[in-house]
Amino acid sequence: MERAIVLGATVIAFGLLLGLSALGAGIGDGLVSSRTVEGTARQPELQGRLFTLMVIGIGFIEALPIIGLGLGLFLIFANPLLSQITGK
Amino acid sequence: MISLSRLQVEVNHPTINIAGLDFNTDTIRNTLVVCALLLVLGAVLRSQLKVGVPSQLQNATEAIVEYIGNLTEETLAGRNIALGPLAITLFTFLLIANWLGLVPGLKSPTNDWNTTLGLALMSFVLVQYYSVRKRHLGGYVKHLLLVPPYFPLTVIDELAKPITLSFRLYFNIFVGELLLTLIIMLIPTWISWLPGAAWTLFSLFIGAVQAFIFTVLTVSYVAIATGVEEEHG
Repeated sequence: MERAIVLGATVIAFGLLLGLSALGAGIGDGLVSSRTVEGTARQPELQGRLFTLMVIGIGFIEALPIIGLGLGLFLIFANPLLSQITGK
Repeated sequence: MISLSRLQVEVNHPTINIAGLDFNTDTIRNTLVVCALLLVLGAVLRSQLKVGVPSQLQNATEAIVEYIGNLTEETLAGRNIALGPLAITLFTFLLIANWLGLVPGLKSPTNDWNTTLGLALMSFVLVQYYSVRKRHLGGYVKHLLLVPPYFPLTVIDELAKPITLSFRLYFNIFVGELLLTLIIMLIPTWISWLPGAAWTLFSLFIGAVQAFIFTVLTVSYVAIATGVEEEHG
């Protein structure tokens, strides 16, 4: 019974973690790229520098859901809460 | 329904114990592979160096060297610090290291937190060194105690830099390789090549971007630490 509760809670936590982090990162990515497009439309000669800045920004933003995914996969595959219950 | 027991993914590194310390043998081997690749690349490039019509390899390398070198110089403008060679070395090492994991049978040395934390600690020491060199020891302590109640926050801020720097790179590469394994395990074989190929292409992009970000951040941290802030006294 406890095992089932922990497993279910873990999966729900994984879903929340992944969905919310993807939501936030999606909004962030959209903001960054839309502003880059705006800037490029206004000053096309700056396209190279703006693109570099955009890639750096997206790299920062994308790191967060990937860190979340990493911690989530850790919860799924090496569940520390489950091993508390089974006492291993 | 998929049973969890079938999904055992091997994420632990094989270790050997020398003098009470655990060494991850695969990480060490892969790091040496990356170093050997870079050395061979450098030797080949050196032997084929041409002034007239350069080879494609020489062109690509020159582009990387020039781009990273110029970026470093621009970031550190007017500071009398030469980080160009370090930045180029970091970038090429991380680029090859991140891409090595996409070769079947090999793993990225950066999918181990020890590697990225080591590199991040190097960057941390570098930042503190240049900070002390710029302000001298008294000025450095004064800079930490700029607003005395915020001293713990300043220390946490400094300590969080290497942690986030290493986590960002480590998790990107680690999860990239893990997901590639999961795609192959979870999706039927006849179609798994399609998401596999897509994810591999994305991993190429991620690997390059993360190597670039690590390099740029290391240089920027030095630039921030040695910035002109005379108005604070």
